[in-house]
This record gives sequence, C-alpha cells and structure tokens, in this order.
Amino acid sequence: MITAVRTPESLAAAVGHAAAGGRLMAGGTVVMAQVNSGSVGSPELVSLRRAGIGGISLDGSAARIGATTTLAEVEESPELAFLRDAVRSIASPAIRSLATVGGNLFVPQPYGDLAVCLLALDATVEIAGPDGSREVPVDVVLANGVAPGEVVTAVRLAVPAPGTWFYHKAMRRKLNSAAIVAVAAVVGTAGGVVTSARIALGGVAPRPVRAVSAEGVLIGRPLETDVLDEAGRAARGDIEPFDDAYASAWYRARVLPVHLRRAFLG
Amino acid sequence: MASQVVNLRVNERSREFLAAPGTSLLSSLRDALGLMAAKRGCAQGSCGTCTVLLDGRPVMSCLVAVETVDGASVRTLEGVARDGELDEVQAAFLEGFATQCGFCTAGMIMSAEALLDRNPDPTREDVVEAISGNVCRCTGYGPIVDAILDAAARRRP
Amino acid sequence: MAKLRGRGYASVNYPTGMNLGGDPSQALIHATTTGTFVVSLSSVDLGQGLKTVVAQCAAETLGLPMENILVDTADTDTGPHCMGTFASRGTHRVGNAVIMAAAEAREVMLAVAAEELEVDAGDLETDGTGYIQVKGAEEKRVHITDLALAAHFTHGRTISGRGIFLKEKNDPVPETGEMDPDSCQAHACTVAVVEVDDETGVVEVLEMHNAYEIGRALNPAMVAQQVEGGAWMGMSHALFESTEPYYPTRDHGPGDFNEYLMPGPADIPMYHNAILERPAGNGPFGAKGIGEMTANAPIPAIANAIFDACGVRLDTMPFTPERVLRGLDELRGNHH
Repeated sequence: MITAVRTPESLAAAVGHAAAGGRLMAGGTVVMAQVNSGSVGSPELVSLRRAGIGGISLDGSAARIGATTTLAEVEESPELAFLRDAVRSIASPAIRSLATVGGNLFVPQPYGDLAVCLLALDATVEIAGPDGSREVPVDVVLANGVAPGEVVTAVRLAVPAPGTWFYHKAMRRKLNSAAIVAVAAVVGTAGGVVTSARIALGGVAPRPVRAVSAEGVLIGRPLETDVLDEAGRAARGDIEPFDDAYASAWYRARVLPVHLRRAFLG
Repeated sequence: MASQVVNLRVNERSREFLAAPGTSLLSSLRDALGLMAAKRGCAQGSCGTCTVLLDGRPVMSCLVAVETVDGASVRTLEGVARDGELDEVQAAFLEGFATQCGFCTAGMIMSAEALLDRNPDPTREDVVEAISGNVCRCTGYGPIVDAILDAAARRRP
Repeated sequence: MAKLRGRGYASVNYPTGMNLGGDPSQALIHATTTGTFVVSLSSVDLGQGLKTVVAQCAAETLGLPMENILVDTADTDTGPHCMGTFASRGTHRVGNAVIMAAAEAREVMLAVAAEELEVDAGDLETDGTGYIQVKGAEEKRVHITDLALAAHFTHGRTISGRGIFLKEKNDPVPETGEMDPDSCQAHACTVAVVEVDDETGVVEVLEMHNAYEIGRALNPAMVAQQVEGGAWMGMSHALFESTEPYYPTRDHGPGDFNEYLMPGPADIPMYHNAILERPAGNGPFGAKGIGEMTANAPIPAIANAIFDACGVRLDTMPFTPERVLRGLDELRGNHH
C-alpha cells in the first residue's frame, strides 16, 4: 500500500528522499506495474520526472544522455540515430514514451536491451548520492546496481564511427517482445580484418554479458561466415542461459551463433 | 500522506480531483472523472487497452502515477469526436468493420491518433508499429491496420 | 541457411448448435407508438454482431428499414429465454425466433393498415422504406410511423409478434448410435503457406486461404470478420500460445500478455477468403453458424505446411521454434 508519492523538483531533493528509503521511479513502467499488483516493497515512491536529469547533449562524438530521457526521446534524437533500431525493438510506443534510459539499467534480462547496447558501447554511468557523485563503467552498475540513496543521473557514451555499430535482436514475434538473443557490438575493421571488438549479449544471462570469447576469435580475422560461426560457438562460454516463457536455455545457446552471425552479415 | 489534489487538462477542459498515493492515471480517468473509454486490461502495460495521449504522446495510463503528471494535458477517446461528429479514425473503424467486441478499440484509436498527429502519411509498417502495443483478440489486426490507413487518407487534404 | 517454404491444408465440418436437453431461443417484437420495432431478447452480442444480424432478420421479414429496428438484449431477469451465445447457435436459433416473431408482427401490421386504408390486407405490400401501400396503387399508402400511432390511439391494436425456435432433444438410437445432435453443418478448408527458417526453427505464416460454406452470409462483412479473426486465433494457437510452455511442469507459465505469446500486427499473414452458400433448410434465410469453427482448420493446415516445408511432423501445440529445430536436428542427424 503506497503512503506517499513524491515528485521532487531537484536532484538534491530526490537524493534526499531516496536516502530516506523511498523507492525510485523513473518512467514507472516497472514500479507502477508492481504498485498495480500490490507487490512493490516500499510504501513511498520517489518520481524522478521533474528532478531535472533529462536531456541529450553531444560534444563531438561524446554523448551525454540524462537518466530520465525516455526511450521515445532517444528514438527521435538525431544525435543518437544509430540507436534507433535498437530502441524500436524495445516494447511498444506507449511504453517507450514512459520508459527511461536510466531505468533500463535495472531491469532483469531478457528485458533491458538498451543496457546491452550501453555495455557494447563501453558507456559510463554518472551517479549522485548522499556522499557525492561518482562515474563508473556501465558493467559495474549492471553487476552491482547502485548503493541505497544513490540516483543514476546520466550515461555517457561515444557515438560509434559509421559502419562500426551492429545490433540484432531475435524475438518470438517481430515487434514488442523480449530478447531470445540480443547482440550489440562496436567492431572496427581495417585492411579487411577486425581490429577492435566489443560485443554484448542480451537474453542469454541474468544480466547483459560481454562476449569476450567471441571477441577473441574475431580479432585479426575478417567478418566472414566461418569466422563468425566460430566466434558464435566460442560465445557459448560467455553465457548463463535461462529458461523462461519465451525460450529455453537450450534454445538460446543453440541459436546464439546464428544470431551473432546475422548481427554482422544480415 | 493524504490524497493529493491533482489538476489535469483533459480533453481541453481543466479538471481537478483527489488522488490517493499511487493512483494511476487510468484509475483517475475512470473513477474520478467518469471517462470510461480507457480500459483496465492487464495493469502491467502489456495490453494497451489503457492507451491515452499524455502531452501528445501515447502512454499506458495504467503505469503513470497521476500525481507525478500534475498539470499535464491528457486526451482520451471521449475527446476525439468533434461537435458530436466522429472523426476520420472513428469513421474508418466503423465503416471498415475494424471492431468486434470493442475492448481494444479505444486504445487502438488513441494509438492511431498519436501516429497521425505526427505522421499524416504513414506506411503500413508505420501503422503496424504504432499499434504494436495494443492487443486485439477478435479481428486478427488486418481490418484495424486498413482502417488507420483509410483514416490517414481521409484526413489528408 | 535457408527459408523453406511449404503448403498444407486441413478441412473441418462444424455443427450449428447443440443438443443439450432441447435448445430453445425466444424473441418478442412490439412496435412503439412511433413505429420503432423493439426486438426483445436475452441473447448476448459479445462483438460477433448478433444484434446486427437480428436487426437484419427483423427488418427483412417486416419489410421495413433497419433504422426502424431496436434490438434490446441480455436482461435475463426479464427477457424471453435464450440458452446463450455458444456452440455457434446464435444466428441460427435467435435468427429463426426473430423471423417467426417478425412474421406475426407483420401480419398484424398489414391487418391494421388494411383497416386504416380500408382495403384487404392481401392487397398490401411494403416498399422497404417504411411505407405500407396498395399493390399497383402506391399512392394509397401509409407510413409505419403514422400507422403505429393509429394502432395505439385509433384502432387499439398491438403490432407485435412472438417467436421461438427449438431444436428438440434427441437421444441416440441404442442399437446403432445414430442421432441428430445439431441443426446443420458448416464446412471450411484452410490452405496455409509457411516459411521455416532452418537455422532457428522459426515458422512464419505467409498466407492463409480460407473457404467457408456457411449456408447464407447474412452479413458478408461480419462473416469476413469471423473468418480472419479466427484464422489469426488458429495461427496463434498453432505457433504461440501456451499456459504451460514446459508441459507437463507448470514452470514459467506466462504471467502477462508479453509472456503469453500471441502474434502481433507485424506477424499476420495475407488472408484470402471465399464464401460459399448452400442454404440450410432449417436456417434463418438458410444461414448456418460460423462462430467457433474459424480457429479450427488453420491449426492442422499450419502443421501440414510445416511438414511440407521441412519434413518435421509436429503434433503438439504450439509448434515453437525449439520443437521445429529439434525436429530438424533429428532429421539431419545433428545432436547438440
């Protein structure tokens, strides 16, 4: 039973309420579903809607995305056009109008496709708390969350050079469905071979994971079918797949190499 | 904390009502304001029957804590007809047999209005994406997509 | 990597109505003072359009425009009896009851008009726009609005009618098992065209061709609604839906509309529908029922199309990508 919903108009006030035990709520797509089913843990909610932590800014290729930026705003942003396909693979328009970039860091797989992208992009996360601010790599937040009283305020990423960003999400239906396997990657090539690779996978572990084994296979080799098949099989060592209503662990591991290849070759 | 007074501009009218903490926009529309078009289907944002326009954008109103949007403008199906005349989307649904039990229809029409407000000349793919969050159990979706494309054509000069 | 295309078909014949302990529906019709004909029913329109079909049957039988018909349903405390909306019985039973009631009301209407116009009732006809007129002398006529008023305030007559349709209870012949459980049978065939992704097992239904023989399409657009809506539901059952995805355990039973998988608007095939009419002797204007059967044939048609496409024979729904892929692995001797 909810006893209070606060909508602070400053970050400091939001941090204060969070430190006092309030449950943070950004877009509400997770928390309000819990409120509606009577399963939210805390009686006090703290909405971040008016805390002033939205907005997208670009400095060269360095993008800073405020935590309460909605997925719809990312979808419409010319600066982040490379993320458009990824964002449109998430839920539906009426969810994307509410769901936020910050919130996407905290949903369990197989949801959280933007978090998978941020992992591939080597993004960092700005966090404000009662003891001050810090900035950490996104995989730290994905693994550990944030401390009580802390509020994610923004993510920072480098917009990838043209031709280096890859994204593919396998779903049970064409739109509005969770990941069976999601692949997000920033891969650079020169002279016909891979020179750098950051590949993140969704849908195949409780949190987004780096496919380090696949990255290792690709370095120095061309992005061709047999190389990608080998990388995909190697990637099975990086995952901890689970059964759920969408697909079984067996199936996810089985088709991972197929979808890894399709992310690069179509 | 007691109920809060919330002000919204709903279908171009200023409305004021009380909301207990945690009340959704959907509950306020239906229970406080008597606007029954938006439906309770799943309370989780997975069915789309609660879709309304919030500051012009389609949202799952069951997932919006109404106190957090104090001062916003909301458009529901009740605000779509003009002077008692069905608008192009409503007329196209009716004449295109795009409704059977009607439970999804309010949400479908609001998703369509949101689309056409931004994109007056949508492709079939645009329409399909616009309604991708609205579940229909009766029609098989085809007539609904056709009706929205028909409405777009009627609305264009 | 290949997308394998296949085609399969299945057909169904489906009974209209059930036996129960006898299956009746009743209808009552009366005219108001201004010529609106109220059809009182306990029958339920759940979106399939029963109210529209009832209005069509009443209007057609009375010889009046649809605008003169008001269908008043579903107060089971006070309305004339109906068994309910199920077993594809609505159009057939309720339609027949309404026709019977409307026929009686029409007789009364013509009798009152005969008095009003001072002619024989046998010389009268309706023009379909609201007038009751003398055959061959159309200028001698009265509009239903005026007639209804006169019936109430001049002639003291109720323009009304009563109708019932009963499918009598039928017991099987003990020696042979023969019985007569339904009123008539409708027929359908679906041809499904699918594409199977042989690396992922994903099945996409590209087309569904549906032919339905339903006696008489009283409202062709509403028939199309049933055919397409049912085809979608059949495809949904065939490929997506399950409450126990890991049957027989209940693990990971879906908890919301995201997890309870159903195809969305991006996943629908092209539908091609053909309607055939072989009027049923006992149906309203020959109509048979069409409600439930529309989800039936698509399912085995899709199973057969999958078999045609890739050789995997599936007999347990839903035909998930995993089931197809495991089937392909068996055929190809793969063991992962």
